[in-house]
Amino acid sequence: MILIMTLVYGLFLLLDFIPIYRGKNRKITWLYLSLFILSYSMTVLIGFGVNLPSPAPLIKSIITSLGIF
Amino acid sequence: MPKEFITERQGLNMMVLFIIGSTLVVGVTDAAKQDSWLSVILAIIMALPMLMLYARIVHLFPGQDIFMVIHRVFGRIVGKVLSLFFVWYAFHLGVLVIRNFSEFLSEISLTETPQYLIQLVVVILGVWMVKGSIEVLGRWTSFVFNIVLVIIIGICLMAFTETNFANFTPMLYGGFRPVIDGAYSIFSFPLAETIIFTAVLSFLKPGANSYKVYNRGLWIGGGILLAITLGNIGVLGYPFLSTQYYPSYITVSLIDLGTFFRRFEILVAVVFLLCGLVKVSICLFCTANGLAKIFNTHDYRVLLAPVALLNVSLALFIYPSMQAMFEWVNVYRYYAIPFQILLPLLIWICAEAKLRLSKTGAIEKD
Repeated sequence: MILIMTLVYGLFLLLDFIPIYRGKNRKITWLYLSLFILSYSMTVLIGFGVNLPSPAPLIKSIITSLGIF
Repeated sequence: MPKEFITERQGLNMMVLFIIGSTLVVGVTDAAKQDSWLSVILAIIMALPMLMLYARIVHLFPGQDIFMVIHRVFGRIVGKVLSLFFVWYAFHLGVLVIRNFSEFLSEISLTETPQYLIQLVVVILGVWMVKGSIEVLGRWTSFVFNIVLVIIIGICLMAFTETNFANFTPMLYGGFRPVIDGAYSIFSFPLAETIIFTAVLSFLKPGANSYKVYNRGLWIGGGILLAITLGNIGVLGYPFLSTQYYPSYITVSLIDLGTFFRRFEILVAVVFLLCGLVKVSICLFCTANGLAKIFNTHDYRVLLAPVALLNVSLALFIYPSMQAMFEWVNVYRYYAIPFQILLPLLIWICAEAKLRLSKTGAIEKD
């Protein structure tokens, strides 16, 4: 999984990010890279079998605590 | 960036496919059992005023999407915070649809294929389409809409041959409460999810009517949901229907015309693939568009790829299992209240007040 995902992320960097980087809009570049790195880190962690906390139980517990579920 | 436009018809097609998107395979709630079809009708009636409210928000500020409206009505700081809520909702909805997509395909045909590959294919297609512009999505939806409509009408007619009308009785055995309960579930998933379209219908051609799109979209989409629900109850019946995760798929797999025409269930998979792709693309568009507005950038397209990849990453661990995915439906109907009811109401009231005050000159016009 990690290998395939790295390949896909690499392709996105080559085909999608480089033209954006050349556009010299620093705000977009940083926003793009932040989302990209966050996403890739999560994928690699999942690939290594790390159990990441899903937002679903948190949302469920908030709704339960409000007493409507 | 040149202004993009979609026609009223394209907007309508997008809305119908969005409504039937994942509901086609996941099915509507079974709270009311054999009376679920009554729940669908009640849900359409319940959703009508809410969808008219969404249309009103679009109508009040022509050419401006929900993020621009929020910014204009609430100012910079509060506007950005409220926009973040909508961005999160669109993003999260996209994640849920992607996961529905991959779970369904893993269950019915691609049993050995890892889910992340299925999810990647879906989002790459979605990114490709939306990067082309919202016009491309609109044109593609118009093309696909006719195919989907023919397949659904065909399936409903064929399901009619297998229908056992005794499955619809006894009517209202559990009273009205389960019907109302089921109607609210259908209201929140999928009818009121069309709040996302407040970010799409700002691209309607000048002179196009957002009320018409919402109104017709609701009746056509809701009508298709009703037909699917009637088919599922008629063919499968309760309690068997409650035990199925993908009732429409099972319903169609039972259709057997003259022992020669059979195995039509692939058509359900095709329709889901097409509608699911539209839904994912619209969620991607809305998320990227909202983020672009929050960060004051002109072009939402540059953010599509990282948003899509983040969608896939979250979709991988949002649910621990398929059972958890179906249990989430019960949580979702409460979780969606702020995004589908409270925030739109607040935006609408403040937008009306602001417009009226600006007309009377009490506050300066923007």
